[in-house]
Amino acid sequence: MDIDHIVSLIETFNNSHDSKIINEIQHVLQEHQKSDHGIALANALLAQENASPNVMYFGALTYTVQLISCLHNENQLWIIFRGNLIHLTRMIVRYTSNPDGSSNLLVAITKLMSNLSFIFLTVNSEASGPDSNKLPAWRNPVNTCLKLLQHCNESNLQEWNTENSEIFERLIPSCLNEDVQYAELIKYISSSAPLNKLLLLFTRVIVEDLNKFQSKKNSLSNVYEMVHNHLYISTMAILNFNLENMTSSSTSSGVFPTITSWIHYISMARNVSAHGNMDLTEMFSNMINIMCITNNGSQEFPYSEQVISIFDDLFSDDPTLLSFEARAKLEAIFLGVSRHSVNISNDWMMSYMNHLVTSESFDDLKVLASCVVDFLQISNLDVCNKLFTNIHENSGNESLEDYIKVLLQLTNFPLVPILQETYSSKMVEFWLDLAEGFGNLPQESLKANASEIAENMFNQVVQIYLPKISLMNKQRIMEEDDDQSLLHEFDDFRSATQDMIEILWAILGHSKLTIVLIRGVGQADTNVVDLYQVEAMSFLLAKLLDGVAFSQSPFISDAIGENKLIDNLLFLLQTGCKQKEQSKTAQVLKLDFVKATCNLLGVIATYFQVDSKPLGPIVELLFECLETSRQYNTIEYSIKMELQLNKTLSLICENCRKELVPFLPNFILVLRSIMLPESPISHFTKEKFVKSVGNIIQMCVSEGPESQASHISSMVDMIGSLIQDSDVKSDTLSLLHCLSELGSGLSQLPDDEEFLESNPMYVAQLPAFQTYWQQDPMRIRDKVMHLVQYALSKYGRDPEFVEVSCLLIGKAISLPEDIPHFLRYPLTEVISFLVTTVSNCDYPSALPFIEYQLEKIVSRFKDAMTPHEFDEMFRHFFIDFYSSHISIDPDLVQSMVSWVNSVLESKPSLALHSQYWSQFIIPEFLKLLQAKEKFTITSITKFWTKILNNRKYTQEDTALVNSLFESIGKQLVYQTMFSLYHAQRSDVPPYAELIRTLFAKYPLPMKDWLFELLPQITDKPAIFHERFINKLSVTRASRATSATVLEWWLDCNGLPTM
Amino acid sequence: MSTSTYYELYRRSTLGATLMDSLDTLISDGRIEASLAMTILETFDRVISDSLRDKTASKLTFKGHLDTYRFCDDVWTFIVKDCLVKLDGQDQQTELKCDKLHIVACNAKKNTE
Repeated sequence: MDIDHIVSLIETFNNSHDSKIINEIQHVLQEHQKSDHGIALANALLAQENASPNVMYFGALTYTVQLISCLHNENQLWIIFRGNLIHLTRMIVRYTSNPDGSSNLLVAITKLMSNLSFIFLTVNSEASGPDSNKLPAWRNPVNTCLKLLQHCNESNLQEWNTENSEIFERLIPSCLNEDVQYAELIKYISSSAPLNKLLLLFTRVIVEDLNKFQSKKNSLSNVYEMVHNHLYISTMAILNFNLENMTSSSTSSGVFPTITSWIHYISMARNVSAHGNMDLTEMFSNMINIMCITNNGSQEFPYSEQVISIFDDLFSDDPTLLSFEARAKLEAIFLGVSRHSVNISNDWMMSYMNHLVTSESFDDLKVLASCVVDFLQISNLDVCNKLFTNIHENSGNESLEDYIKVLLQLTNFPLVPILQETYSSKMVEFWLDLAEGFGNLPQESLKANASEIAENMFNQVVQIYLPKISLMNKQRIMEEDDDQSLLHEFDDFRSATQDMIEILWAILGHSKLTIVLIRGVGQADTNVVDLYQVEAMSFLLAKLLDGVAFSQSPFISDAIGENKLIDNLLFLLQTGCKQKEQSKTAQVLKLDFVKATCNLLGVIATYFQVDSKPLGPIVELLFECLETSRQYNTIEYSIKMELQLNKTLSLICENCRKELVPFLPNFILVLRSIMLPESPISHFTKEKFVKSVGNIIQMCVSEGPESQASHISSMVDMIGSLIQDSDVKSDTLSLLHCLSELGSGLSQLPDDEEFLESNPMYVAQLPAFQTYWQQDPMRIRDKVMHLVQYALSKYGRDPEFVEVSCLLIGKAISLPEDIPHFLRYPLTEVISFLVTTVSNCDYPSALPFIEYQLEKIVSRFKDAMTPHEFDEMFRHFFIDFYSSHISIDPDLVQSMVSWVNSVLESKPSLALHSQYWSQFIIPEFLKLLQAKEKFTITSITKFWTKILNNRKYTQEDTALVNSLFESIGKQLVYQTMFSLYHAQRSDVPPYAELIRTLFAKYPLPMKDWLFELLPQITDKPAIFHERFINKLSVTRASRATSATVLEWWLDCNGLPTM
Repeated sequence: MSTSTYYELYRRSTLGATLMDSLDTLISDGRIEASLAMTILETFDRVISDSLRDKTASKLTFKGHLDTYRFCDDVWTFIVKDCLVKLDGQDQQTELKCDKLHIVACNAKKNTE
């Protein structure tokens, strides 16, 4: 082993940029690290006085490699243990004697500490218990380190090497578990700041590693005990000394990270071990003290931010680590009032907040808000009980009122939310939890005036949040900062407020919340319309009015009617769509105006069934905005507005189709205008608009079917002529979609039963309409079919055209028989269309759409269908394409198997008595069990499971299946087990389900088959298979079977449980 | 503040299952040790959990008839029938209808056993 050569390799490795050289050197160096001389290499590199940080780190890393990968016996561990201690001690002496000049040692020191923490864990863990462990337990690494430092100094540094038997064989074992008294420990750390820093680092590295290794689920109980009894005591002494002397000595940068790591550790350990519970009272008390330290006449807060950040983490994750007394003290400091009669002033808090606000330290203010609100959340339930119940009667009601007043003031923090303050956004959760807590209190425990208190308080909360969520604040954010994340945060804040309002409604009810907001939007008390306020209130109202049955809530309907709500909403919509301001900020706000209006109009769509007067102006403005929004807005925003407008129009048309019948001519007029090829309106909007018109046409029933048919016919003619004239493929596609949407609009009924009950005229006319559409005197079906075939003749190879054509022709297949529809084609016509389409299209891309229609056909016409018809369909759509397309494309295989599965689910006899059953389906589907593609495996195992277990079998079907399994059962089991053995882990569950069904159906033969077949599949010993089979035979549940099969699969493939 | 290990439930997602399949292949080929695969999966558990919490803006709401609910071993299970699921993205909303929605929910802050 040539050390100089290795040193030069390490340097080249760290300095080279040539990846080939780096890879080659890495390989050589790794070989050295893992070799038998790895320990000697580590020692040699670490012993070099003038080595570079890279070389020293590599030496420490070589120890790590030896520890993790090459440890064969306890003796080796003991050698590495002592080697690490010697090198660490020597480096600490070098560092502490010249901290500024030796800072490059810190990387290697940290690595050596990490090695020792691994050793600490190994020698103390239960896994290496008393029988196997020749090494003594290691109680306290910090003490060992200090004891060794007593013997090492700058003058004898040369002697500190692994060759020195005095140190290696005698000194280290004797110092290993020697105690260090408190006074001695304090003497060390108070006399040397660098040593103090390193000891803080050492204890931090150990607990961080313990946190990491905990996830490996080793049994670490002994380690926790060792930490609890020894390391914790030394660490607390060091930490508290540092915290108590913060003002007099220079700040130790290691204190706060070490505190954080120890909190993490204790928080974890106390959940997993009896020795994990460690008292931190003194430390927290010291932290609170230094948090409140101010310098320079309350102008500087040297430690506040760091301590608050630690408390913030603590409160959100494990608040009970902090004792009750400490929490009461913090409460008084944070809020100035306490529920526990703690008499501490909050002057510090006021000065700190004032300092943060005046110095515009909004990030720090955010951390403080997060800390305070997380803190408040801890006692939410207690506040709720004290405020609303008799449980704590006569216990400081006045202070509680003050407490609530402070919380309300905090929520109403006088700055811009999100941009400058986060109290209001953080407090949303608090108020929401408090409201939910109130709602969950048992009635008998409530104070007599509990409802009054709650209503008063939550009313104030609503009044605070209304201006907070105003878009005026969003405008400020956009003007001050270009950060998109702040905007998203503000939008999230608004959504959270909306959720909170929904909970508050349970307390305030319609009378004190919904009606107040309706009046607010209607601006009943003022003559000047504040659009920002209208928007904020509309935004909240949309949540409250969602799902309200207006016909059964006259007081809400009356309130809407009595106020200028609709007028102001339309004004808001007009401002959003038709103001010619196109700056980025204006566009965003205008879009929000449009969104708020459209949402609320959509939500109250059913209100217009009660009062249809506003429909005229609403629809008119929606049309106008739809047609003109591009003139006033940039393309990006006008597209978004168009979507909103269209959605609202659709909702209104869907819910108010009867009320809108008088407006049908206006709709058709607008439709003709926007359907023109030169119209800038998007395809999507056109299609949805056609659907809306379809909704209205559906209710044109008063004059009989002829009148409705003439409307439909004129729509089809209009779209048809556009198709004939169009040379643009995308336009033609969209026009086909329009026809399909027209069909959808005429087949939709809102809340079927309710609708039918409230529209007796429609119900009375149904038979007449059915007869009419059966005869179809205007031959509308033929017109549509002709248009579809015309489009397919031009673009039939494009799957999108096949998709929309199939949807259009199959539109009425799944509709109930008694609902009349102009697109109800006879079965023969649909099949004929599909057969023509399949022979002219691009089969691989079009099959899924055709298969979907075939599934619908079988489900709808199953009773009338015969096995012969199944054969015809199977031949036309699958067999004819099997060898050329399906067999080479797993997606097509899946489509084919899925269709057969759908037949098995609808009427299995159709498939079982098919001529292809034994000729094709059984032999091919057996082979498909070996497929490697996930979706094929899922569908094919479902097929075999369905064959085995099917409730729709007739007696004849059952007999046929039983005889089938007599002949192919063994072969099926072989294919299944063979395929399972070669499958991927994620494909095991579908096979397991099939095996479970096989065992449930044929328990005895299945056992015999498995005994015979498994040895042919894997070369595992017989006892191994026997265990598996026996376990399977007593396992019934799906999940248990899956676990058993997976266990067998893992053993067979030599893979670990993950 | 991570005080505990992360749930392993995302290993059953498509992403997790595919990762496990890939790790199986690497182990079978002798290219990685099983212990490394475990470490990778633990990292996956942590990263997917943190990412779903911190980096997603989408919201899902649903409405339906609560058919079954249970709370066992810190795991909530809900079966909602005739469910309408609304998926809210940044600018668009998708609605899905399903006959039966099975929800398995765990405490965001895992209690270690």
